[in-house]
Amino acid sequence: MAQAGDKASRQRPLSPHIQIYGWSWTMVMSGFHRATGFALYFGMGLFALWLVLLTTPSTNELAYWLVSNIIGWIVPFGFSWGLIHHLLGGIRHFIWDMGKGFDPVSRRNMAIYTLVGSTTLTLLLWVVGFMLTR
Amino acid sequence: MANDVKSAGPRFSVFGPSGKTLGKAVHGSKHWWTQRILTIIGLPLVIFCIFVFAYAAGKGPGGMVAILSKPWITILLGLTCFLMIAHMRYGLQQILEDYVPTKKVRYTMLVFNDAFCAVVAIMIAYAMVRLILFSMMLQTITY
Repeated sequence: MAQAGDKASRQRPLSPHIQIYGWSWTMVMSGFHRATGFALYFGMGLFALWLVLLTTPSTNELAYWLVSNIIGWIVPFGFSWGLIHHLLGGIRHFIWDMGKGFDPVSRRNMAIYTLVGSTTLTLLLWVVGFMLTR
Repeated sequence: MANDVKSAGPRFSVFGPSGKTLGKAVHGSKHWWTQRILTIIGLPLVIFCIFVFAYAAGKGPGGMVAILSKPWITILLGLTCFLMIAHMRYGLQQILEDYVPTKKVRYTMLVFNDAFCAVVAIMIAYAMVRLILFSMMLQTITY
């Protein structure tokens, strides 16, 4: 009886304490979706400000110079990655909204593809973009 | 006995101490649908804008404005920006409702959210007007 009791207690689920929590792809990508959305919120402010500078005749060259060097590429690169990541995450949420892709394998794969896809597409965009401008 | 039943009620529930629900019932589903519709229309537009900026990059300060000031590009870019502003307004509203428990602080931040989105919208509108003026300057208008 005592042994059976021990076995039963061993099979009980453990409390998911924050420091020993088993991170899952869906959980991390959920956080990424919100974090990229939050970053894009302020990124959009910077983009609008930059667009104002670009379209104003007196600051037109300044706006172009700001994104014409390696340091200036960091923000647009991050913005484009965040945008593409949030976009792919949005498509994932669409699939879920249609009631599909809820099985463990699909939702894990979709979460992995979101990160792999966003990184690949962003690098592809910038590499192809550079090849076309040179 | 009656006292026992009362004290045995749930400690945490969506119902507050006065029996009122937290938040408004109708607005949530309205925001949900708005967010989805904005995304469905915004999705192809954002992809279009990514290609526009990838194409315009490296064309020089004047060249970039020349590309962005093509009427159909200005219209689609403006439309995309305003859809994104509406989307990000609802998005931050959700974040604030999730993470800010104090009503006063939350309401203040919700007002700042609206103000920020309004400022971004005005900046985009200004840039659009500038692009329209630029394209108008390039052609003699005859009807």
